Amino acid sequence: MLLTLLGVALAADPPPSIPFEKYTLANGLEVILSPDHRLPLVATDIWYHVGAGYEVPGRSGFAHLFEHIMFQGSRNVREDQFFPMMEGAGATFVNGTTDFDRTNYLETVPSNQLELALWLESDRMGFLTDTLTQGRLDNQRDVVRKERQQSTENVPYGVAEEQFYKLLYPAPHPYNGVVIGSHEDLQAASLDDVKGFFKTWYLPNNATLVICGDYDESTIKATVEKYFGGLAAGPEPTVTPQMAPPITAEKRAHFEDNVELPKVYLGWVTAPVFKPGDAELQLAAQVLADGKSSRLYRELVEKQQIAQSVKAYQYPLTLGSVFAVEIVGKPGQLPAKLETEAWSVIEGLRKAPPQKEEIDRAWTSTKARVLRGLESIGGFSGKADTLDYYNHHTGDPGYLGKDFARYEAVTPESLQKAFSEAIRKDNRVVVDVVPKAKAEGGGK
Amino acid sequence: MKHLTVSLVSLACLALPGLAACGPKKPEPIMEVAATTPPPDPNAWRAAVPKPGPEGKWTAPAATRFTLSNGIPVYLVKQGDLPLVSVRLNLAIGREANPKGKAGLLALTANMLDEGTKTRDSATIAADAARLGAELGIGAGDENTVVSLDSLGGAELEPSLDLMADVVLHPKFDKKDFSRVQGDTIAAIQASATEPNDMARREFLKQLWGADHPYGTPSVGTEASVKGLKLADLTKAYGDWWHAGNAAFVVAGNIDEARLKPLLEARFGAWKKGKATHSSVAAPSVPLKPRVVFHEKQGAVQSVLRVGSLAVARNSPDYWSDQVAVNLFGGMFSSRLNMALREEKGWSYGAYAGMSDSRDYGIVQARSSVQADKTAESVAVVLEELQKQLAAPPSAEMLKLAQDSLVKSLPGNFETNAATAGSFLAVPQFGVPENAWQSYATNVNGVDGAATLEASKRLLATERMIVVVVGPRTVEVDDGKGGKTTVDVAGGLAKLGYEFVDVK
Repeated sequence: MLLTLLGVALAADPPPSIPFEKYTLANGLEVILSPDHRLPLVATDIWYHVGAGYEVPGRSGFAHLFEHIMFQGSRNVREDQFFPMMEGAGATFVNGTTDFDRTNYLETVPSNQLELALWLESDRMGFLTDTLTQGRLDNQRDVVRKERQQSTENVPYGVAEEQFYKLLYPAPHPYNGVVIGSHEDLQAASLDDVKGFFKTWYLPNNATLVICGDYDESTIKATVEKYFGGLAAGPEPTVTPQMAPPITAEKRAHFEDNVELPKVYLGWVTAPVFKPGDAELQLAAQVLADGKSSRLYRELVEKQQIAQSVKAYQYPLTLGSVFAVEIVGKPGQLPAKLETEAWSVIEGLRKAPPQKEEIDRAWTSTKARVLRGLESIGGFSGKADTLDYYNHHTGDPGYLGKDFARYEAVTPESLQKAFSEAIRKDNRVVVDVVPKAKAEGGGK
Repeated sequence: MKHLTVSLVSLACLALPGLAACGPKKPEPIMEVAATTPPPDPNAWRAAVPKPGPEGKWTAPAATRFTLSNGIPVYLVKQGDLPLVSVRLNLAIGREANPKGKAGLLALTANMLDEGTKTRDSATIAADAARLGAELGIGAGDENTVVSLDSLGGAELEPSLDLMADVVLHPKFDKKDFSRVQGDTIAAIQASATEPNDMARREFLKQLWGADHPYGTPSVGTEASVKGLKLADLTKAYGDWWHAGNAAFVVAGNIDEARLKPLLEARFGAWKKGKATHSSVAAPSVPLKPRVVFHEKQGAVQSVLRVGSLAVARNSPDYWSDQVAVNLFGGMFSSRLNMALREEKGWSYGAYAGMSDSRDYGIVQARSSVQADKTAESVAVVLEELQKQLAAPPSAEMLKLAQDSLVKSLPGNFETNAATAGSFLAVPQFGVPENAWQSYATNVNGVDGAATLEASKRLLATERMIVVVVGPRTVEVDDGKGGKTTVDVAGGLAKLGYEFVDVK
């Protein structure tokens, strides 16, 4: 059994655990090994402990631009060869992602190709800038600007969502805006900026390598040492965490956009990831908007039929999480109405503790989702990423059980207390979007 | 990207004081090289790409089959050691079943199932699923409808299956729920009316099949067709289509037949029998001729492209060579399409092509979003790359890459119960054998260069391609002299040399 979880009465079961061994190479690279021999597949997942939240003002989008450059070749990996090599090896997952707090690089390959993955990862960890030219930088900058257009500008509500984050984290807060950055800042990045970023952050002593899957347990440490042991450590990066400044008065923004349906965003800066209140707000988001038994769905979608869809989430981050509620209105609905009705549902949860039953099902469905994620060795929310996630935030890759425990400790009263303290009218951000044509006609 | 690097190298050459430095390199005297050899580089060994180790012994799973007493086939793949089970109920009817003028009927009927049963309202259904840690979903696809249950595998499995059975067998079709869901569906269709990818998808289907063909409309239907649906249409559709004759189960997870069979038999064994209603799909009602169709999206910063045509059925003998050909063209990051549009030109974040699995006709389709001022140029690149692929068989290296990327990644299709169950839906849906995945590698690797070229000529010829573009009619760009100039997107498309259709 990979997870010591019995079928009956899930809530009473011992928490699941993923077997792992963690150690550190002489150069400071953290290594986490986790065997799983079900299929001839192995996942590698490197987390660099740097993200868009470490950018300096005027260089937004840098961490993400850099992630792209990491796929463009290094001393021994020819330009444009990373993906073909992975594809030819039969990789089932190759990706990199940039978040505010970290950047990760993931590959899942047939187990006989593990060394290829380690070779590619170690070459770019050690020797990226050798072959980095202005031409490569320019090309990837173009690609990223296309990605920005595709993910932010050419999607309904994309621009409003960017503004939502700007209001939540006013400049110079590093979370200001979207991870992908602005066109101007992307354009301003110089080759020296890129090389400097690499030398500061992309160090063995600022990274964690997880290998999970069907590897040879007798030789794996020697193999890791071969590829990563010789990489030079750098000066320990220093970070000055800058917590999000508290919002003390409501902030609002209004947009007219090429959309068909009105939409309202309500947002708060809340307890950082794993800090008191974070688990309560995670569950509160589900009580509010997860599925057809949730409060906002029942009231706004089903009963009043003023909303097309509702969504709520707690996005856990180191320097202040985001709690957000999003309401997409039915055609012609006024944002003010959507906002008022949503707020009245939110008030309900602020004023009285939820039913125990609401918390229980929010937690059970979350737990089942986590379990299903752990069916995969790699990919997003697979075992390798889960080990890395807990390691990044708590230093303990095996934190899963303790994470479960903090949810199991949530009571109706603790949820109400955390929720009513964090979610108020005077500390919220409200962004609404209305269809362009209708804005002209409506005039209200 | 390569062209940029090359031009920079030549610029660097020009900047050098002695142009000779850019000429062909003279061989250096051997003695001198030996005399100045630097100390050995401790990382020199990294220049060699690691060789793969011996391939692990692995056989793709096969399903075992058993039947419920009313004839419903069940395909079971036992796997994994987590207490998890994925159940898929496949209903083998698609959009072809929708009567004329009633596009969206099949999908709306399916969407009503979890809105309430004789004993549970929609909130209770959702709450019960959450309490059990189960995920219950209903999806109306193009050619089938799937009810999916991802359940915990212990004592939760039985009540989770109860919930699934209740939703499938005892939907309430309440009048109030119906009008609400109908309204939601219409609003969703309206919302997608300006979403560029949805616009392109709708336009492509319409152009390929014809507006009056059942496949010419997405499964959700049109605003008008959904508005026209009555509750009585849904209850009749449910009665006609939702029965054992159209149904099959696919189950994957940590469960064996001895436990599963009685659980399914108890809940679905008495479901009314019926004749399978799928009839084969008529050919498109419009002739397949090449054209460029422009659909304006005012103010868009990118244009959405779809270039495609009809392909072959999943059971066709041509299927395998066609898959390899399409993979070569656009299935991979390193396929020619993405290399050209993203890496060489830098006009797109990505460009991919694929072929859908289908009972009667697949669709082969290339997709991308490109910067608006390069729309016509991008379409020209796609067409050029198609022509290049028809001109000669692939290099042995590229063919092997295309095959390896399909074959060697196969274990990933079975990593999770949901993935395995999804893979094995091909058995009831397309009639492939229960061990079809075990011959996958042989089928893909059996395609040679000549067969690939034949497939490309048959499938990817530009004279059978329909090009759909959703983008701005004109776009302003910097003229490089501090001013602005207007690019005529539609005009550029009209000049590509194909029939041009401007959807106004």
